[in-house]
Amino acid sequence: MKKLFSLIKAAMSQDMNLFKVKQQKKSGLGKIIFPIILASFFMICIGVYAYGFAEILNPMGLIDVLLSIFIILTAVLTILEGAYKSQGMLFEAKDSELLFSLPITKKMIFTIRIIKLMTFQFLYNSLFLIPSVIVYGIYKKVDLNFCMSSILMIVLSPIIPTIIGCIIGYIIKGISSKFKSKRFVQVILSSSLLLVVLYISFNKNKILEYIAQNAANIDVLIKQIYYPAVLFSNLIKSFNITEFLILLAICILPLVIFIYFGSIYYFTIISKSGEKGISKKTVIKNNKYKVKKPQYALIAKELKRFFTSPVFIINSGFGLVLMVVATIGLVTNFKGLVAGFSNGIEVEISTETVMQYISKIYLCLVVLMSFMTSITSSMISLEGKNIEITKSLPVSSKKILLAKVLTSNIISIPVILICDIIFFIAFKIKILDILLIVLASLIFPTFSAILGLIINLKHPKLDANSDTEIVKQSMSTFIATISGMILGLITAGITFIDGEKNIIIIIELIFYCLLDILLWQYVVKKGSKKFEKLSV
Amino acid sequence: MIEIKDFSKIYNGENRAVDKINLTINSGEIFAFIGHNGAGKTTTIKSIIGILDFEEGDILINGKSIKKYPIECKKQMAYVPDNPDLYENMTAINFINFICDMYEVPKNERKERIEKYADIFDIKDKLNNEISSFSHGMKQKVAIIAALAHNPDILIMDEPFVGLDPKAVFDIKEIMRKMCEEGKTIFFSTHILEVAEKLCSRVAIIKKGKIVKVGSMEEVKGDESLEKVFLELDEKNTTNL
Repeated sequence: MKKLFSLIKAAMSQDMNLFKVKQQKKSGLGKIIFPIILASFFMICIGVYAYGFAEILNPMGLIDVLLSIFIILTAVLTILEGAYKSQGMLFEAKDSELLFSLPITKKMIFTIRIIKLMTFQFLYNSLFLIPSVIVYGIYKKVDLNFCMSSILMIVLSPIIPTIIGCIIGYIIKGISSKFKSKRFVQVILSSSLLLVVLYISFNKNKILEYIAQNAANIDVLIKQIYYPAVLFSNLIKSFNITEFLILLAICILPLVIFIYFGSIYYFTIISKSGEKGISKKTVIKNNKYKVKKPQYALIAKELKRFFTSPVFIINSGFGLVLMVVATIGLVTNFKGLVAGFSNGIEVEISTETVMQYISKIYLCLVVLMSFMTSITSSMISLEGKNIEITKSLPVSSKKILLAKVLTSNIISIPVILICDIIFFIAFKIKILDILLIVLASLIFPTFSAILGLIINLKHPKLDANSDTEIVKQSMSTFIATISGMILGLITAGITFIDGEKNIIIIIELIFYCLLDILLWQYVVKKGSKKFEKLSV
Repeated sequence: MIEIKDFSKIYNGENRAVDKINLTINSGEIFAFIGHNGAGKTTTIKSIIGILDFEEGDILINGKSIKKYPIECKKQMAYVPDNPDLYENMTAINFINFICDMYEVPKNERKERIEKYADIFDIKDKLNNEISSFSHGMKQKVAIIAALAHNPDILIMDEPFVGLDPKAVFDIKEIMRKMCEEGKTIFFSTHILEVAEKLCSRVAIIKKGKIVKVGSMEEVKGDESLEKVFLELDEKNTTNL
């Protein structure tokens, strides 16, 4: 047991700076306050969303459904997070060799990593569940049972989704470890999972309709989707020992079974994924000595880094995947989308009206997706220990940082421009609108890239154990995602102020263009110095 | 030529890792930097190569300050780190090519040098493999080939012999001797005193951030072995401290 605690302590100190001896005199208050402010902001946003739901559900006497909806929503997100995080935390952790060399069982190693993963999932879940519980508490009587059951729900609810996520991650890693091009297969499988979730989200009305038609009432409906949600909401309404024991069994038993069976195959999968073409013997062809200019070579290096990290591709390129899906959806099912949206907000909207604003709507899509694609917010951190090689190169820091911004643009801008062309052809867009959309497709991704870089320079994580820690758990990506969402929503929202006119859009484009220049100047002057001071 | 003038490196405003050291390493010289773990060797090396900022003093590379002219200085140097943390996702050939691109080495020159050194270190048929699949020694060989591929004037190595097989150690020593004959500067840190004794023209011993002895091999050790001198100096310093 002592061993287990020591290992948990070591594992957690890697990621959360817990148990760390303070080496610097500088106060760490800023480091604590900022994440708290961001997390609070996020929770307020979720709270507002939950309140909106509650306002609709309460008059219908369905306020109890609020919690079930949020538990299901959080469970889906946790499964997705679990599938991606498990690939990094369980299978690509850099301390695997060290841990497997220690006189501890494989089961213990697997358990520690599951506990670590659960802790992160618990924090992630709390961001969604705490606001929904508070909103629910506004409408319902708050007593001791409510408080205890809520805490129990927040603690237990990530377990099942995380196990499901781990199994998916396990399968993805297991299948990809059998292939020669492991990373490529991993990217394909992980992307497929994302597309399945997106497909379900886009077709949720049909799926829910189907379930609703086959369900006797709303409780049965939720029970069919996710049974623990019913138990959680029942416990919060009134405590029942039988339901409590069932819930405990449902949550804890799968975890025990998963750890037992998972640890049997864990070592095999880790070992296989470590085998990388050791016996390959080849002759170097003449074209391998192709000369590149330093700037191009740096970009090629960054592109290689991006395309060899499945978790990096999927997480930071999420906006681009959404962009493609949304454009295809808009082009192939325009009328259906308008009808769906019209039903959703319960206001009659004709396709003709939407057509008047179609360029503006699409431009907003470009804005949102550009801001949601934050590749550069991980790029400094992903240098890791290699930062010393990069810094020893005879090129200026400006060139190194420029390569990161250009790489981000090389990845994102072509995807957006292809979507633009599909959109222009399908909707026969006017020349002025084409010009504005193309400009937006250049200016906004550039802004997102520079902003991400600045954030990562301020919050680098060079000592991560895996790419997942950087891409999914670092402060930099968290800030970039939240700030991107806020800026994206504000920028997109403002464009509709002047109706069909384009004045606001033009002002925004000029503003962001100037901002791109100013921020780049900041990167050159201050960012370069920050980069030069970075060390592992 | 490397000139280290009153160089100090202070961590977190209070921890003086290197304290006002002065050294000159001339062209055509193999210079060994000897000291305990944590004595300040790697800090000095990283500062020379320009990857660590420092507070006091200056380091001149062929007369130019690494602080004021980092790019010009770096172009003349090559660096082999103590722990070869290379770009793991690249193949060996891609990594070496990348380094050559940074130093703008023409195609024919790089091809000739890469093939020559890959032959010497016996990894020619492994160059297409991903670095992540290499052992420590193999990575070290890749780092050395990448460093030599641009024919640097100054070669700086941090513990270059660690993890290498005996043949590779012998080959590096031969390469170092040849570079020295060509008038190039070689500065390296090591714990292997025998190598320093046989290979170097001059040596410096560093302890707790201060140079305790510097000079030609004869000046430093006299008739004693370098190991004995090092241990005696170590003991003497500990008593004084």
